[in-house]
Amino acid sequence: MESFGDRLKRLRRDPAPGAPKTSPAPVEESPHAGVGERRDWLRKRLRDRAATQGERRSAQNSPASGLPTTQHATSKGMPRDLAEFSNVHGSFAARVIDLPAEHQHGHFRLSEVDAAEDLAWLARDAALLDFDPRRAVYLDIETTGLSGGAGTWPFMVALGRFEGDRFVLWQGFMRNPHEEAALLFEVAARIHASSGVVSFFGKSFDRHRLEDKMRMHSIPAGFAERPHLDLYYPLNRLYTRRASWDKLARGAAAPPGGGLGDGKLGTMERGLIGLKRQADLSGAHAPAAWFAFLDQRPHLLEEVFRHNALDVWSLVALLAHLGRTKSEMRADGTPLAGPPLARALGLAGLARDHGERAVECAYLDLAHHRLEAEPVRGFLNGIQPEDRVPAQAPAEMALWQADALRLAGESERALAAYTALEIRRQLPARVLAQSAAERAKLLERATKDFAAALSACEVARAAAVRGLCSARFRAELDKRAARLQTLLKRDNEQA
Amino acid sequence: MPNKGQTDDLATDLSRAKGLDTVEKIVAACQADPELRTGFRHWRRFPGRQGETAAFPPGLDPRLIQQLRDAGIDELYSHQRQAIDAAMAGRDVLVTTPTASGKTIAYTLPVLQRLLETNGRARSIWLFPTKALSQDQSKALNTRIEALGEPWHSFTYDGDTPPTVRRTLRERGQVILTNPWMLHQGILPNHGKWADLFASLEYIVIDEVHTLSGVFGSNVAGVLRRLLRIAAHYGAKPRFLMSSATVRNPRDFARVLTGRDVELIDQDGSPAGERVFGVYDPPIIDPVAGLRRNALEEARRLAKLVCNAHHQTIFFCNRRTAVEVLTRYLKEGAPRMGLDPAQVRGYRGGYLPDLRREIEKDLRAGKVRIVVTTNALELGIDIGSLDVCVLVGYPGSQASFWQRVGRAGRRGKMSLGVMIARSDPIDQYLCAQPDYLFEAPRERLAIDPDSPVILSEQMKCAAFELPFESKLGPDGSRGIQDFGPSPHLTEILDYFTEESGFLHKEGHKWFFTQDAYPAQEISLNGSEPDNVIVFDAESMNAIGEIDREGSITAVHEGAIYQVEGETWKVERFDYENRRAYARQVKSDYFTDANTETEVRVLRLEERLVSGSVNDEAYSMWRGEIHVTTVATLYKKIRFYTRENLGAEDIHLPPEELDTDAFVITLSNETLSQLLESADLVADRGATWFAMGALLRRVAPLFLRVRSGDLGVSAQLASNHFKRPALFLYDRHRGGIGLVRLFFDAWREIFEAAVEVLDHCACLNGCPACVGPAEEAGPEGKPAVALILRHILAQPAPLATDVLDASPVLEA
Repeated sequence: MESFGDRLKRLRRDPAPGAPKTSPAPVEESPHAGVGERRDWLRKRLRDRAATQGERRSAQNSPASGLPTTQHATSKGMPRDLAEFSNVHGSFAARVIDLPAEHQHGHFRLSEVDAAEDLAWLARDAALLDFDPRRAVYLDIETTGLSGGAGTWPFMVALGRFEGDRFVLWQGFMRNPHEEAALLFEVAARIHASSGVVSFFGKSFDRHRLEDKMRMHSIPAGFAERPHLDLYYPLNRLYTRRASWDKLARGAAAPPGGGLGDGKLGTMERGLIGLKRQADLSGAHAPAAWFAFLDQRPHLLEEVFRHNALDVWSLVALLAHLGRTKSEMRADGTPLAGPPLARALGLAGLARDHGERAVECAYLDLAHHRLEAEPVRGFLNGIQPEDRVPAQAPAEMALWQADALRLAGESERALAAYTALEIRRQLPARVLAQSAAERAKLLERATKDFAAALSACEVARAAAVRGLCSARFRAELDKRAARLQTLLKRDNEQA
Repeated sequence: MPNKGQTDDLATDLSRAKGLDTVEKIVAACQADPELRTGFRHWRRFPGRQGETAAFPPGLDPRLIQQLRDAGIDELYSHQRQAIDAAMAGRDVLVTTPTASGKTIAYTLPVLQRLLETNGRARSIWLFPTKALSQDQSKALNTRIEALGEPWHSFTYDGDTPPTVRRTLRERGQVILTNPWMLHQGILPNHGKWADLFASLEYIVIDEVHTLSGVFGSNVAGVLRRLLRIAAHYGAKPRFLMSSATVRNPRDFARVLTGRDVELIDQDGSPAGERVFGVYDPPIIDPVAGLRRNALEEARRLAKLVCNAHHQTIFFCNRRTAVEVLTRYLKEGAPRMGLDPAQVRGYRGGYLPDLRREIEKDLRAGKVRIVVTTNALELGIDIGSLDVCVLVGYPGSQASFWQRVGRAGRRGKMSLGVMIARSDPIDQYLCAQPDYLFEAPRERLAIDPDSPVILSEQMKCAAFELPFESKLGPDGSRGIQDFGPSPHLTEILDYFTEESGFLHKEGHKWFFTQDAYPAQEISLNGSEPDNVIVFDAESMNAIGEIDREGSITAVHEGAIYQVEGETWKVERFDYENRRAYARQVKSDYFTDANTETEVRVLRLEERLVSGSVNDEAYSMWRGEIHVTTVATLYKKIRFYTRENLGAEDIHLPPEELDTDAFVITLSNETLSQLLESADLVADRGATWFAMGALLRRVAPLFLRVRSGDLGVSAQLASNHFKRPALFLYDRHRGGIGLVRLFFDAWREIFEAAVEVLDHCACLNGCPACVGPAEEAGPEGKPAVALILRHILAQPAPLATDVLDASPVLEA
């Protein structure tokens, strides 16, 4: 008698794990002849089919998992140095790595967080005004999937914190899914004991994974009540948006971290703190490593611990870097790594966000200087240096600079900047249109030079057509031109 | 300019339309009309009824009572009072009174009452079968809540809900109106985000539960088990408040669906006007083929009498295209009924929501006088009550029939319902046996959440949401206590642990250990990953989906694939990746594939024998079979003339299916003697198959199935039984309980099949009975009748141990 399990297997038609996708057996042409022949042909087809099915079934009877088991059978056992933790929810394990605060991670010593400044300004978060990196927890988790949902396990939760002259990294670990509540209870306690949280992309991921799971176990999470510095956002605002412009300025000899465009942690580590990981397990392999561990094959787990620990130390070093970006200099006076042009523009953008026009102009001056200091290869020759690098970048930057001066109330300097921009060679029509339009406004309002304003307006109108600017923009220019003509006429009549 | 004759006709029609100012006069006109009166095979009159009312329940919050009084409601109907009493006493409730009897109030008041009692803490989830219904209800509910002056909210949560709103409704929504799909894929797998809702979940309201049958219903039952598990995890034990159309054994159905014994409220206390009902059978135009006039054409003729400016009429069609055709006919004919064409509207799924809202509003306001629709207006969308309802064809189930008819009927006024029969076995049966329509429901709802495939898929989703844990039961044995009564729950979990490796067992718990989100891959409608998606080869948009078993006959290379009357030619069938690519063509032919089916018996579970085991007249069996279907060739057949334009081979692998089957066996002698004694020249194979085809067509009268749900295979010399065997099998992997229902209802189905044959007007078979003579054989119709009668005339069969069949099996 067939067991229920066998019946279920037959009905579900699950492929054996890891088994190659079975392709249908090749089908023989049917004979066009009489009925009898066709019937024989049909029987043969059915027999063939039964044969392939039989094969498939026997494949399903092989060991449950498609992963090779013998190879790793030697590495059985728990990861080293695990301490047992217990609380009202049960027990779990954790590894503690205690390093001196002077420990060097990449180019940075962990203790350099002490020199971090302006974090609230850089992260655009007033809650970080009194943020003390020495009293925060540095959080990074490993989960069994990115999708979230109840069946995704946060099997490793790392929280690092400074304790006196030490940096103590605590890696809480679920030895089996039973231990989730106990682990999360301790995690919540450590977050409650801190004055803030530091993470990389944790506001979008780690925090929610933990909160959802803590809610399932009725454990108060405590994230909402404390400041959370998610390094991903400020570092991205500073470095990724115009990362390629540094390449434009310096050609192929871009500084390390010249291209931070993808915004990932590994890229930031290489470009900003000089850390290059070797033979690092990709985070995407963490789920498989833990599942294998549950299956008595812990061989990959050590790699996950290592990867996770590096992530946390990088949080500390990246915070130390971020906290020096405004001065662009480390505490010991050495220059900060990272693409300088992108950073200057990033800081200018932050200043604009904060409404600090003078600061914005100062950073733009700096960016301008950096751009001019190096010959802009390619652009000056009228050749696009690299496909991915926007040729109009310097022009756009100059426009931004002129706009900033205008908004800062420096009409004279703004006019000069617009004019200087417009005589550039190879200027994209769209930039020219915007520059000339702004110049026309300034001339009309600030200097009342209607004739000059009208001629700027005409330049803008012609460029707007070539640059395929929006109809609304062109209509505004038309209106302005008409008004200027009326004003001119009136002035002439009065004269 | 119209000629004089036309003008005269118009004038006559108009004056007649003006004269028909009451439903009574319309009925009289139908009974007198020289052209139509003979078509009306039956008339029924149901007297009006006084409502039965009851006072508000003593504990009901005065604010609610005031709100009802403000709306002009001073008393409740008796069934509303019963439902509210039962709900307030903490019981699970199912109300099965007819359309427009005020079922909504029966579940709304207990929810509001509890909200008031708990100062807004008691939360509820309301499930509706369609998005439109939940939005309709949400509006009405919010009006009631606002009137209470409390800061509470109800929200609809469906695919259209913006992410920004989702957070608010998770945190603050006292009432979440949603549908089973959202619950399955969005809410349950993320229950941590909804922890507040689950922790204080007191009610699960389910509207129109009769729609939850078949694969869909079986899956929803699994979703509800998951919901209750999660609620229990957060310490809540919600109660069910449900409404349904009238169905057979509603208590049993509700028990399978929810796992609870419900309090059934089925005595309607609402008043009703007098109701007249007519069954109309279109005249025969081809006696040999048994062909009757087209039902849609007849609807148009009937409209002259039943539509006019004095009344609002609703026409129900079974297909979307029919809605468009009839709407056009009626708009053209509007002037003859004294109407403006703008007063005639179509309404169906696929219309934009704004347009639908507008039509609903105009119906309520009486501006629209005629609406032509599909099942889109069958469920509780508020369009007010109309006067006349015309069903173009039987809708396929008694519940749908009554829901549609219930659209007509104003308080204290007479209403009329007419069903126009099509050339279809069921419609023709109903012409012969109209009592079926008016008696207690006889169709069984198939729902089997414990069918192995469905159950295991739902358990996979459930395991993702919370670990399963085997606990000691009252009898001292260990098992899973929170996922229904199946004895196989532990085996399924072990299967997932050992065979597929996505569960991990630790002590008595099973944990989900895979980087996956199972609800995303599991569809409640039973469409599976190996369904075939049909793409437009030009735009690469998906234009349709076909189940695995149907694909080899519908989307093989060269097949004409039809969507709503448009023809597409399949260019390529990527069998391995389950995709077919088709290009739109103007085809004057369609394709019809031939298949060869081989059935192998895997296991027999039940047997009924008439006579003795050694000398049986016939046996009915229930068991499990393996079906192999091979598509051999396809014919190209010209539309309308049905001329055969040639055939081509199909080169596709066979489809394999393990499923439940109902089997009829007959001794060789019986079959021979029957046919010889009657001197019939029937083709035995064709006759045997035609009998199966007829039984399949009649089955929906007694069990809720769609035409594609049952398969037929006829064997004259079965390898297994060594005699003629007829298999009717469930076309869903592993079965969803249809066969058990068929087994229980076989006598009713056989009797109805004889009834159909007796009343069918054709000579030698037609699509309205055993199928056309080309398929059923030259004397297939009398031959099938003979066999069915013989079976019904034998002594009633008795249950026998299937093992008693061993002499036969060994032979």
